[in-house]
Amino acid sequence: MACKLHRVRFYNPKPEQINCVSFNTKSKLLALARQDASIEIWDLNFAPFLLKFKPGEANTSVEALGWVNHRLLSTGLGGALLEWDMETLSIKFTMILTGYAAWCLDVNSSNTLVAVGTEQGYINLYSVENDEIVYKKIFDKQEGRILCCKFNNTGSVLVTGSIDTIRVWNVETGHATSRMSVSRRAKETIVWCLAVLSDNTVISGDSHGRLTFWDGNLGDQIESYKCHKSNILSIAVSDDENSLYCSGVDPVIMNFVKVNCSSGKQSSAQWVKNVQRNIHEHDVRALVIYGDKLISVGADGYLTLSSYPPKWVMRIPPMIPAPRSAVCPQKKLLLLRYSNYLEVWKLGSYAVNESGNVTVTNVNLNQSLKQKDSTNELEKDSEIDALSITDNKSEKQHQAKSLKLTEAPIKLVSIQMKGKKQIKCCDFSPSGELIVYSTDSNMTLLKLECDDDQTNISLAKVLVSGLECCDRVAFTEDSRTMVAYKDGELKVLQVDPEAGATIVQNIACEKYLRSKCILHLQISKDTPSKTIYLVAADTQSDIAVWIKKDNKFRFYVSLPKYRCVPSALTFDNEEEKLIVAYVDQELIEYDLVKARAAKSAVAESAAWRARSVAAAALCVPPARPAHPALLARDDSSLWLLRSDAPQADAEGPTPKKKNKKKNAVNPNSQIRIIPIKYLADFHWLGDDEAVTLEILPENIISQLPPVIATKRHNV
Amino acid sequence: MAKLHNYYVLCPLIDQNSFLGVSQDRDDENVIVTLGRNVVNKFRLSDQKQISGWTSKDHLTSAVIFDKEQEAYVGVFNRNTIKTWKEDSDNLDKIKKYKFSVNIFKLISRGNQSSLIIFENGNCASLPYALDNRKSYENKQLIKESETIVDIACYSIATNDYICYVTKNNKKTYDIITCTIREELGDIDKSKLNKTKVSRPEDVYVVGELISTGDKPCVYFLWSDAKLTVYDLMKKSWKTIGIVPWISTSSSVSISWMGQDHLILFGSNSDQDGAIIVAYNIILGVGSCRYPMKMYSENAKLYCFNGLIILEASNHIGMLPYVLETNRNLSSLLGSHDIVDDTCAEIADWDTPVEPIFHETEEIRELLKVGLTERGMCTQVIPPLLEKGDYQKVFKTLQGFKDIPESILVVLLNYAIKLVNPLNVDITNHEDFVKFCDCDDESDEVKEILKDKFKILDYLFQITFSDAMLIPYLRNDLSLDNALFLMSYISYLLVDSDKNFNASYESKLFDWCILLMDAFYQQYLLTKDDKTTIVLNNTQKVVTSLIDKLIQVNSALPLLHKISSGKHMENNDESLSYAIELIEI
Repeated sequence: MACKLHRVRFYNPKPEQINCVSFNTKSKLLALARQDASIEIWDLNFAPFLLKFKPGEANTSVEALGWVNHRLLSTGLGGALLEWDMETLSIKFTMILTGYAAWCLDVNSSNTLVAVGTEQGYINLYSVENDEIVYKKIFDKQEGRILCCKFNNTGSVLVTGSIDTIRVWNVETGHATSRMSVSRRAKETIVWCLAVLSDNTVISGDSHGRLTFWDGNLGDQIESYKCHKSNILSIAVSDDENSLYCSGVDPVIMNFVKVNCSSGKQSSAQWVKNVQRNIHEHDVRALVIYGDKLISVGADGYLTLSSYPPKWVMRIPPMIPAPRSAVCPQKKLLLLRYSNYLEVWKLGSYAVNESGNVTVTNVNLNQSLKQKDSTNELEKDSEIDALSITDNKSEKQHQAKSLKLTEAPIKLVSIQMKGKKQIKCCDFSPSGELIVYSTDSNMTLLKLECDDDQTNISLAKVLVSGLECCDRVAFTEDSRTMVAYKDGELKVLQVDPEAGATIVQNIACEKYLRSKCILHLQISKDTPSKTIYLVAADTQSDIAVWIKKDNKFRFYVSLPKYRCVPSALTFDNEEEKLIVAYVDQELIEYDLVKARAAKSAVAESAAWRARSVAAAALCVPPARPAHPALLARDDSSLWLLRSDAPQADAEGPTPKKKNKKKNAVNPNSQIRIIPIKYLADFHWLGDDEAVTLEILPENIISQLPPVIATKRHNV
Repeated sequence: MAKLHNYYVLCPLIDQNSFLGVSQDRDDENVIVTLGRNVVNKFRLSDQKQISGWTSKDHLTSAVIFDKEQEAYVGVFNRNTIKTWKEDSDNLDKIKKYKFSVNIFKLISRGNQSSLIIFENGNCASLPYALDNRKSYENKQLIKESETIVDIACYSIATNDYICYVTKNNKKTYDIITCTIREELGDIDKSKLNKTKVSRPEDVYVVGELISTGDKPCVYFLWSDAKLTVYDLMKKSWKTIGIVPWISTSSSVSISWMGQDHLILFGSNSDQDGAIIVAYNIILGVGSCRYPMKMYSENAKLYCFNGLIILEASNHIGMLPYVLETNRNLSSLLGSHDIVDDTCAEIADWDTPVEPIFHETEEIRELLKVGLTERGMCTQVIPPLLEKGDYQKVFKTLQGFKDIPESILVVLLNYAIKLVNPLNVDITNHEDFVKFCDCDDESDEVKEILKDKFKILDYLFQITFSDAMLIPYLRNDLSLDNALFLMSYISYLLVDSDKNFNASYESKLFDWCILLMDAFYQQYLLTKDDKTTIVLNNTQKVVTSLIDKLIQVNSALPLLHKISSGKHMENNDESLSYAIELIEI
């Protein structure tokens, strides 16, 4: 049955540029900081998944990040070295630096020393052993700001880059051992990035687009390549030191490989240009090599993973972390979360003719999906393999029919945060009358009143007693109970729109969740057996379920431990199941009544297994017979998973149904993919009505700063 | 052929006698109408809306022009005063006047060069120069008192600019005066003045004239015996074009240039009870279209702008859109010739030379003397050539003929197909076929020869023919395989080939396609051959894809126009950002 899909494309939060990244090779965690000083921790063990998010703050900056084992350090223009508490994502330790603003940071390979380069030319060296940060030394002051610094393999030598010069320092003494002049013809040259190889070869990238190889011991230039039209901002060297990538303001990613040319007895190695990749249109700020994949980030805000050969690109668009939106299906209200404000929209309505049928205005062939822009040299995202397989079949269904709008969507209210603080979490009560949100210091509950014709809209603050802020919050179906998570405790609040919200129960989660940082918090609807479940999952992949009895939540069961984190989970109310999708594409159905876990049959199919992105959300269809499929959403597609195997209706096996059963053996027939770029959220509004929140790639690009002008001969 | 569409009114005329003329505005689609003594209006041709206008207390005495150099409008007031104003000026009375001591006849805009002022005494000067030196501007009379200027135009040959006057004296005889004009100053170089008398030995008089300043500057005269003659300003020679049909030449006839070898004439109809507009092809010497009108007005002003005829009628200015097409078929013109006894046997300078003006080849020299028609010659010359098998020669001879009989055309087609020898190629295999047509598989030497052979085939498609006459020949003489090959080849030409051809050639290709369908309709239906189905399917694909492209262009055009005019597209934006769609979930 066709479903009326509200496609909301006016949700365009400003994409934030990525300033810097740091990759932890042991835990495979990637920390990245954006322009607004927010920090994101991505788990790259399986499909990339945003594990933790620390909202940015106004007037702060993060210019460099570094991992010391499992500790995350950052520094910025504020002139301090910060250590972050990975559990609560708050500042654990602050060390004021010498030399004002800091531009760069590097940790030595044995994770004992941290060097920070500052505006005034001081290098601050700190010892980071034993979970501490202890001041060790300040190197001799040099002229001009230090823009980049790198330890060598052993940690005995530090190389720094600044305007016109590269210096090599002895870490023990703090004196410079050699200096290389980078300026050419009296033109100012900024050394933006450095790399040091194990044989003390120093590689530098500068503002003229030159990649230069230096002998670090002698301070001589070995080779220089003018490989970019503009500033080179980042260099990444592979672990075996046989290959390196560089890129920058000219966003072409250049690959150099080491070639051994042995002539006679002497064998010398030379770096030569290899392939180049056109993956970014905007400045590339940082590159990281992770196994056979190259991670590149920059001004476009995308987290991009690529590999070669074969050519493969995966882009994770800049998006506000989930939950990004919430709906009130009854009133057709949509709550949208932006970085520091919320909006409530009333969705539009469609025309219905006399016979009760919807009026279709035009039929769009699926033109936008497969358009190939030949003039654009940018490499496209690699397609989902399964999509090409199931394409022929689904082509017909992609003919979306637009309905005539009788009412355009209306923005009811826009709620600005106090002091422009970024939002940590928010929720919308299913009744549509309460909005709750929290920053890292304030939690607010608002009552939204609105006439049918949207003329009188009022917002009133509802008192929340006993809770200042929270990390995650959720409403129950009846909108009268709210569960908030804060510092390892679940707080159950009784909500009355008039009287306010008060804590009625505190649940300590220590026993059930090892990490204090939770990923998911969900409350089920009333199940057929008249129970309400509450589930919480943390970043250590612990999942615990509570059950509501006598107005109190009691611990019910912990799900079996799994090797990776759950990327999405949802309740199947009718069958009283908890469905969990893990980042390694495992899909588990947990029967809450029998307390038994089972692998979902659909997830065994090759198409599902081959996914490279984690499911960002799961949606159970509201009306079973009409829409039997479980929906899995990721950033660029909606997966329809039919796990219903026809044996459910085995009672009347008509010949037709038998045929169907045959098809069902083929796993592809159970899966259908609707590609949507980029799908920020999906909600059911009713039995045959749903809403998708879409961020069009062009809307992201239009909000980005202009790119470097390039000459294209064929245009 | 010309086709005149429906006539409609641009604007009403207040007083026909005081109407001064229409001139081109800055944009192609706007015109400046100098209405009467003191009103100037600007109209958009596409919707006949007045977009702006000015009034003046002073009397205008010549049509207002738009001077591209100054980006301003220039008008002549009270015969001796010039005013220039910009688009946004609202009051013409307050504008600075430039008064001249001599009377001004009219203004002529000259594209990107500065406009010219023509004085009544026959002198001229470029506008900026004349404005600077207006006080000291004195000049000798160039035109005698007894003469009046009928028409003036500027033209250029190579880099030299010329001015051409057509004058009439009190004996009603006409003269053509041409003279170079000096650069920048824009005045007449009197030493190079050239005067030509317009006269014919017979007792006839001129009823209409036109100075045409296109590629070949020339002056057309229509005489009272309906004969149209032309004076070539470059070669300084006379030539008779022919007899203009349908129009009465007892009263004056207005003439204008339509483009593509066509003149447009407005005059009284032959019964003298109404007016008629005639489009006349000067190459073929035939009237190609006529459009009857109710009222005739003498010396009506007639213009052609932007695919529109603009005509001064009795109480309004009318416009008549037209379409011109290069002539496709002589037969469609049959009967349009009015046979008028040309009593004058004297040839002298007036007529075409006896010797054919074209270079005749050996083959036809003899036949020419016999006086055979082109078709006749063609049937005699081509078949023996084909037997000899020298395809280069065939091609060359073929190019000498314009009118090729349909029977020969089919013979030639068969010959050309045999030349390229498509037997080895499987036309159902698209890739192979394209390779074959591109001659990709061959060595360079063979490739050149093969390409030449294809050229003959390509040329054959552009020959004009009558489809009714061609179909029987096609049915009888062309095999089904060859027809299928031709259809595939045409689709190749339309889509895959990198050969360049113009729009008319492309339209010919479509005609051929239709013709082949038409001729082999029954065979296509009855054969159960897969090859036929594939070729037809392929052709259909080509056609639908071309139609799709047209639709896309069509839908993109208004959008581009909107963007280029800087208009905000709110509706589109709205629908993009929000939609409710039906989707299977």
